[in-house]
Amino acid sequence: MPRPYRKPLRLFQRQKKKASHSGGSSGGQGKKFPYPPLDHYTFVPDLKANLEQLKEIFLNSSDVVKRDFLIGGQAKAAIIYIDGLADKKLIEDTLLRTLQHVPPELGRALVEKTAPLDRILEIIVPLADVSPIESISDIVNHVLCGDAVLLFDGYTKALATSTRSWEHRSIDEPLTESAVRGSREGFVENLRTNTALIRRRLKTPALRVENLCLGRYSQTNVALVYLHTLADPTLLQEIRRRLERINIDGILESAYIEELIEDNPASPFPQIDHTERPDKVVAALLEGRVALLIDNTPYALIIPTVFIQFMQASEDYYERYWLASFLRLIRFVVLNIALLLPSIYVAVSTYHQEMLPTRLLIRLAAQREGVPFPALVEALLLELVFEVLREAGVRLPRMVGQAVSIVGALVIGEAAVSAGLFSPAMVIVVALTGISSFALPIFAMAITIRLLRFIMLILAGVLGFYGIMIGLLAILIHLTTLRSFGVDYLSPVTPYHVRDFKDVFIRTPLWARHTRPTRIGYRDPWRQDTRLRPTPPKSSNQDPAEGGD
Amino acid sequence: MREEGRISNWQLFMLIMAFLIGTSTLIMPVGPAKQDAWISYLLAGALGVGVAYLYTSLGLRFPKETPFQYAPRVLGKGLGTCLNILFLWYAFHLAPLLLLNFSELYVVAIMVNTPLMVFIGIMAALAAWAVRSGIETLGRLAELLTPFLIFVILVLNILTILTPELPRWENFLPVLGEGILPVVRGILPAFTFPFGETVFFLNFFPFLTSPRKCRYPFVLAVVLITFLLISVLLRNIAVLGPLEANRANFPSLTAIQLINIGEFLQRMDALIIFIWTFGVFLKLSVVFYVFTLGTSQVLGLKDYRPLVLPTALLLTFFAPTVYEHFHQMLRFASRTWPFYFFPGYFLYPAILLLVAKIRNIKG
Repeated sequence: MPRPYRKPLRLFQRQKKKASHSGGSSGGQGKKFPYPPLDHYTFVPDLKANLEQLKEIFLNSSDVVKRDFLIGGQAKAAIIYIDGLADKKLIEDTLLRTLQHVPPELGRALVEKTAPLDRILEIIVPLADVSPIESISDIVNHVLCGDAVLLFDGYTKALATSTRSWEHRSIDEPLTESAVRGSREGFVENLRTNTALIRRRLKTPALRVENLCLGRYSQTNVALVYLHTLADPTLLQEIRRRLERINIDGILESAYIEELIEDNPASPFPQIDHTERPDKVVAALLEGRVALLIDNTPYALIIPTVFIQFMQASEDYYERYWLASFLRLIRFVVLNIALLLPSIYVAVSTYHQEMLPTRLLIRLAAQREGVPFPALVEALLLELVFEVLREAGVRLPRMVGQAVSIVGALVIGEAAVSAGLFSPAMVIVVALTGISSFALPIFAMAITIRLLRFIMLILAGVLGFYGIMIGLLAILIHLTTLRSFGVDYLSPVTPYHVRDFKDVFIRTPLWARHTRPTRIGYRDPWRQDTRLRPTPPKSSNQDPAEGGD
Repeated sequence: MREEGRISNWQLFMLIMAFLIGTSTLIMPVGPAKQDAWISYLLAGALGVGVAYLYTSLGLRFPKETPFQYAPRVLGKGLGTCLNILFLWYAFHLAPLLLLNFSELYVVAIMVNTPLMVFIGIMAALAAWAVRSGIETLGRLAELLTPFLIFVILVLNILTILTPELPRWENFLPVLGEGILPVVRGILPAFTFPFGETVFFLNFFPFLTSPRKCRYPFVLAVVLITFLLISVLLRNIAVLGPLEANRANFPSLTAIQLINIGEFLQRMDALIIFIWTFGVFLKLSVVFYVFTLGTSQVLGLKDYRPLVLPTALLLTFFAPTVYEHFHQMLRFASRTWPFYFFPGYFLYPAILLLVAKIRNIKG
């Protein structure tokens, strides 16, 4: 059944056309179409009939509240909203009370239609954000979004009052990306709060928030956020094109969108970064990247993403650059350890014993004495145990989690070694690898490395160093062909952009980072004055008046 | 266009360096010049710069076409196609030679019990994947790996020299003890392997982002690698002596196994495996690429990609038959190859350039 399901996207297409006419102006409101379509219902000037229709549509859902009342004791009207999404207090205390107590003349005017509806509503409705609506499907939309809709007897016009307010998590510290220094605010599940968090950091009209609605049943709001002076228009076009072809029943997490718009769906590598930190999103926007915020998820997607971004933590930019550069270099070492250490150990101890210094070799051989498994099996078993322990620790409630770690560390670690099942060296190798994969700043990359580690392990166990080399070559060939929205995944290392090297292996000081990433921020390459290096006066007894500029 | 990818001149520079490092740092025949082989290599490098000028002149003259495309235009359809096929033959000979070379190194040096075909087959499959991914992938792989290759070679050189009592500088004496003749005899083998093989980069010029500036990276790469190769050669002679360096199958490997600093920095074989695998892989991919691209152009196909897998299979089964044992290969490389390959690395480009100049044909 191909065609009718494209309906939720039609509005977006129209907006895109409009946007291209007016030079990429901000997109429309995230207006919703109910699904399945309600076109066969018509709005009639009879309150009772309309309520009947709505009753049929909502099928007595227990959370839909309908209430009839009289405006000024004269005119019949009804209000309909969803309990839990609309602000009950506002509706009861302000809206209903005011409407019921309007002067009777106004009520009579409504009944006798002596004055136009809009005029009367201007006088009697005590709320700021109201919008007139003229179809059943719009009524349903507004109700589903948490608006309270007023219906009047004798009119084919209803009034949606913005009473959206529901229980949500307050702004909290980002759990997965905590930082010693830096903002403690993290995104929440509410899209508006999230856009506000970004807007508060970028008080400029250049910040554009384009809304669109994805998911036939879920009708999830998705916001495309960018700085229109920096973001590449062809990139935006491409993102819109890829979002447009999403036709799915529901979007529950940013991962759904990530999986549906990435460049190479077969790749194990994450091609779109996600973050909980508004400051990280803003930093990305300032580089000319584009962010996607999705309602009901505290993660923002950053597009395009290159490999190096997975080596950068937002804290790198808040600490002194010496330390940050040091940590950056350590991360590259850690990346290699997490990927290769067990396979190198297996390769050396199985095939290439001659490569070890003699004393180390004797020590290792003594340890492996009596271990019943070949090194490959031993490594695979221990790695699997480690993965299982981690998985158990993640899924279990916190109280039980401790028990798991005790079982893991003491029973398996200690007892398995003393029982002679595993060699202590292998336990050390696996533990080091595990810690290293935790030290990678972005979880998405860490799990990729975890996965590739098993492949490398098997290759090393089968073919020794040759296996490791072909594994590495295969990964590199794959990475060189990978792109994220047209940007090469390994840039700026290859293709080589010398200006971007200031933020790859080391983090250069802020006053030396004059330019945006070559490929991404080319529309306005200079981000700051080139003479920002602090030049304090040399001697303390200098006249402070001269020291200024 | 059969290839949409483009590589930057920097990537070409890296690719040529990786190509020249490829197998040569491993085998490095000392040849007849013995302890004066480094002079031969120096002169061979100078010759290499000369042919680099020849190749880049062709590249500058035809910046939008590969020789497979302009040869029929320059020399006439019959002769041009014949020479093209001859040139393709050299690529098709060199690729399995590299494969076998490399696999034999693995089998002889570290994995004695593994069948040769394992190394050949997997390497051919990987190279096929890289070639199928296009010229961009080759350029980028070179860009990523070449700095490491050079770095590792230099570090190994330094470590060998730092090992106490290992380098014996008197090995270089006497300089020119047997006169100039052995040195001159050593030039040609040193030149054809590896410098003459850069002729395959003729096919890379049209895919450069700025083909008009192809000369500088080409010449610079040849010059730099000449010095790098000489440093490796000097190291080998200093450590092993000219006789042993000539006798050993892999003098570099033997020299590196002797590294021993404070009983801890020793047995660096893993690092030289790194160079083998990655360097040879890049060299193999370049030759493989030239062969598939050239075949598709000679046959007038729209795309070279359908040829990649069959070629990989051909290479896999051709490779074990290229030579019977390693010394045959060494003999072939130093005695036969310079003359056998002469039409490839000199006649083909020289005739093309000459005729194009006389007939005033430009790309």
